[in-house]
Amino acid sequence: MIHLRTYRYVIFLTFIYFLSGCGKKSEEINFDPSSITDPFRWDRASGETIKLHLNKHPFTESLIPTLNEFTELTGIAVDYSILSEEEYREKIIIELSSYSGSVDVFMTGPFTEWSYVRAGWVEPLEEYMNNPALTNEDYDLDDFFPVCLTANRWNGKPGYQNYGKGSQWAIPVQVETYILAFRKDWAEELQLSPPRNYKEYYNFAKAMTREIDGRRVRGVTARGIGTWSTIATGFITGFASYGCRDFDDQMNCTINSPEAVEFTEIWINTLKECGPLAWTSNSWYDTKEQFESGQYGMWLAVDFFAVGFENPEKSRVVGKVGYTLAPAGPDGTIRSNIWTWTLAINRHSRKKLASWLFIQWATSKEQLTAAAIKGNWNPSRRSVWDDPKVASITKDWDNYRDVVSENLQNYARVCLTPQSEVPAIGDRWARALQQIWSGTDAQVALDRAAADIDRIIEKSGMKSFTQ
Amino acid sequence: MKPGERRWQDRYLPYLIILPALVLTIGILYPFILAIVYSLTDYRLVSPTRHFIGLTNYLDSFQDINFWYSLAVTLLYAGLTIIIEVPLGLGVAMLLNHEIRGIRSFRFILIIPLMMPPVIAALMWKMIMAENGILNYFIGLIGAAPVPWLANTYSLLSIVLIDVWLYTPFCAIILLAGLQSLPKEPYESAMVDRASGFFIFRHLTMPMLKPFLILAILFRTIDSLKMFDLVYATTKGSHSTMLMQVSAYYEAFRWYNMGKSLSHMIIIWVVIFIISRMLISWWNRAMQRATGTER
Amino acid sequence: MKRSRYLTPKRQTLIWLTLAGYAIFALFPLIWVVMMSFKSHIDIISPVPKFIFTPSFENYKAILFGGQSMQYEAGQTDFLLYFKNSCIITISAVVLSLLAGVPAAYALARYRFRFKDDIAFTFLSFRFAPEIAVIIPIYILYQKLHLYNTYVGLIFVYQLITLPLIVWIIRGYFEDISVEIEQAAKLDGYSWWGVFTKIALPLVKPGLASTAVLAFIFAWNNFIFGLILGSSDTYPSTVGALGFISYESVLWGQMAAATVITIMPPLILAIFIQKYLVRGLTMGAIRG
Repeated sequence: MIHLRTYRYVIFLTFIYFLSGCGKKSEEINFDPSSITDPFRWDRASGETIKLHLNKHPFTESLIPTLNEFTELTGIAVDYSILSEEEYREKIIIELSSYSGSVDVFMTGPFTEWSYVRAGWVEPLEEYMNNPALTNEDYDLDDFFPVCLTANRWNGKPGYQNYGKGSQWAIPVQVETYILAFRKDWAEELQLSPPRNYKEYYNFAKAMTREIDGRRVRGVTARGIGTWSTIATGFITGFASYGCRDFDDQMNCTINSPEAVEFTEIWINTLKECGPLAWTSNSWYDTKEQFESGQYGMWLAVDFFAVGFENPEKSRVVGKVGYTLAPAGPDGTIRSNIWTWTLAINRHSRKKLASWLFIQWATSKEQLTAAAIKGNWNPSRRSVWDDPKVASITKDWDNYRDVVSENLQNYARVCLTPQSEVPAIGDRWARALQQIWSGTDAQVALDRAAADIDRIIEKSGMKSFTQ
Repeated sequence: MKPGERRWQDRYLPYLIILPALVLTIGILYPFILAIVYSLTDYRLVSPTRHFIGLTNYLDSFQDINFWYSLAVTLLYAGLTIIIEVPLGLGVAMLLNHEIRGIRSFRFILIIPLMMPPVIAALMWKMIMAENGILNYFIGLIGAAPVPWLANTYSLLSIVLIDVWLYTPFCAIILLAGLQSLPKEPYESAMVDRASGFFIFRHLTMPMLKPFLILAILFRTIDSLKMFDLVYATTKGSHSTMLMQVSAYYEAFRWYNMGKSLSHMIIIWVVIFIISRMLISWWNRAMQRATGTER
Repeated sequence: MKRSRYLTPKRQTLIWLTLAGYAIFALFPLIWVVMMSFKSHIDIISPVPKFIFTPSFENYKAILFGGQSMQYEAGQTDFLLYFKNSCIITISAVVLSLLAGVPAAYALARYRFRFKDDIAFTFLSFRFAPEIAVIIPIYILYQKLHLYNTYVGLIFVYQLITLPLIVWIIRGYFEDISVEIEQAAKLDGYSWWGVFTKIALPLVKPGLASTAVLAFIFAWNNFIFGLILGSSDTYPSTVGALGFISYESVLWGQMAAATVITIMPPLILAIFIQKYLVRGLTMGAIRG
């Protein structure tokens, strides 16, 4: 009896194996943008329907009510699906990896694009952008802040030197840089000026950790959960300012180099001594709430969180926050990481032309201005940034505008080395930070992480990557 | 009716009756088998092709210190929850095993935590365990420093606390049923003999409760080894709370390594299978001894 | 049962005190969250927890009817959809399991046949299997079959929870019915279907109802299947509750309100099945 059963299982197994062994057929829907040459028309793809996958974000919220304007203009109907960020990141991969064209336009950003590009899921946009038959003459690509467009360009090869080269994979709808938000009222009280370098950063935090009216307040807060977002925000900004790199030119992991260890120790020690008690479970909203509750002194944060800080309905620190550039490294270098939410086209979409028409409409000056007024920060277009209505929104936020302008002008670039394993590597790195915070020696923890990361790079074939 | 006909009916009827359920079962078994097959490949969500790589995923896992760490954390978690929940549940059950007015209504209070979705319970506790949360407030009232409940050092214990809150009623209910089903005669004879309470407990109650204890341990062990909801809602899988299913989730849905993730799952599945078989046969024997019958 | 003779008033008070202590432990989180659902946002994030506050329904209004509750943010308007999804998926899953599982339980209880124990054990093994092991292949499969993010897909996967429960517990109930009644009916000329529907089923009705309710509760409380195999159209409310993490902050008040609404169905139903709980929780192993 057992004999018979095993035999049947074996047959079953083999059958399954053959079924599953067929690799997925990726039908590339070949659409050649340069094949269209007649003058530009908005209604070129009239009658089509496109599917958008969007992240829950002010941009989305300002976009949805205006979608029928788009349909009127172009004759293209729009279906959309909105998810909150965590879910969105996980689910968009399912859609893209099904190669089914179930999504045409989706929101993404630099780090995730790197994975998707490597997987062959994103349509390069230069031929659309540069073809006057497909892009209306008012689109004005030069109006975008150069850093925003550069951040979304990649030639598909891992390595620091490959940043900003190659195809344009997406168009930015907003941009975030990293600035130091601090309690200027406390700084005045303690007669301190905001930190200009990381030594001052530590001292500043320490000075601000004290008791006020019997309640303990602390000097600094930051993200701390064990995921790549902990790395790719304030931490990497400081890391890069300090002159450190995550990978060298041969794609060996260098997060355990002497400067890197030095910086990591400063960052973690400041948090240990002057930061939240439960730092390792600090997600971005925990961090934001902590700062808004008025109990923390500073945060190397996403710039536009200022929207929340200055909102009297939610924040107890309205009007008390100062903004300044991120502290400089030992040799005076200031860097700011950058993130842009962007719109991209699925390479396996069946409606690429309609998708491009949508993207150029949604990222036009008018649309982005309206979006900025409804809360989509920061605008990715210079004209929108300079628009008086938009500028007036931030006029009460201390010198927010100047700091961010300077960032966008001089200091902002993606501080991570382009590679397609950002989640796995970032998560591993964040885990090392958590271990250091819990007491492990920094060099040891980072050495182990670097070894694991080297292994991840090797397994992904990126060392010998040719595309 | 001819003898042949009846035999045909008797023989195949059960299969027919059970057919719908069997179809569903096979529908579920198919993915299980696929899981085993995929765990032998280098399947990654970001790459369109799959290659058969044999046991490489398993070998990699066995050599990966993070895997062993995750396994250790999972076993520790299961151990802690059992050690706390079973005795505590027994205590509550013994308290409830009195004929006092109103004790029946208490049972409903008891099962409220048990009937809540674990993920919602975890969210509730997350709000309570926040740095400025109500729990630290109470701690502050008695003069102690606020505790970072969900930070790395304490997070596993905090999640164990949530588990205890959720599932002690489970143990209590089962053990209460056990206590209430115990025969009265041995106790009566023991009281005639003036036996001490402790003696009664150790030599009468415990042996007769054994099947129930084993059952409680069985279900709690398996569920603890599989725990995912509580960790996902609170720490999302920090270093010290990386239970096996959480780590498999990361591996599959954040780092896109489906094949590797499934190898982790197959391993924990084997562990669960072995433990459950052991406990079930132990339970069978205990039932036999306790009631003189075979289940 | 311990004899009442040993229960001095002192002992009784002691017992009640201890139980009350435990009750506080068991109920406090729930009470606190219910309170939170009636607080405004700024009250919730106050550094000193507020026990006295002006209650308001704004959180409930926001999640049930949508609308701007804070600058730049729209409330979570999909909560009703998630609740509806939970209802549809859970009820359908239980119904499907009943249709397939009750006959199966009967077959396992009454007949002897080859593979009987293996099949029974297979049903049981679903209870003990790690979910992600089956979710990953199903996730991949569903993409190809276009069952991802569909009710049908989720109802099918939920069988992993509801089917073993129903089969094993109802089997126990069937085994409790004495065989003589059925044999008498058979002698009277009833076919197996007649015996099943006219004799066996009516006798297990209470057990059946309570098991169905229990299966409903466990399916309702499930999180992981909806999380991974569903998306914005089909998330059950357990997953929806996590969705109150918007891009700017966590809407604690609304999350608390959603929590309260989500736990209502299982808690209310639990009242009715208290008697049958032991059998349900132990998969029929204990005839409690």
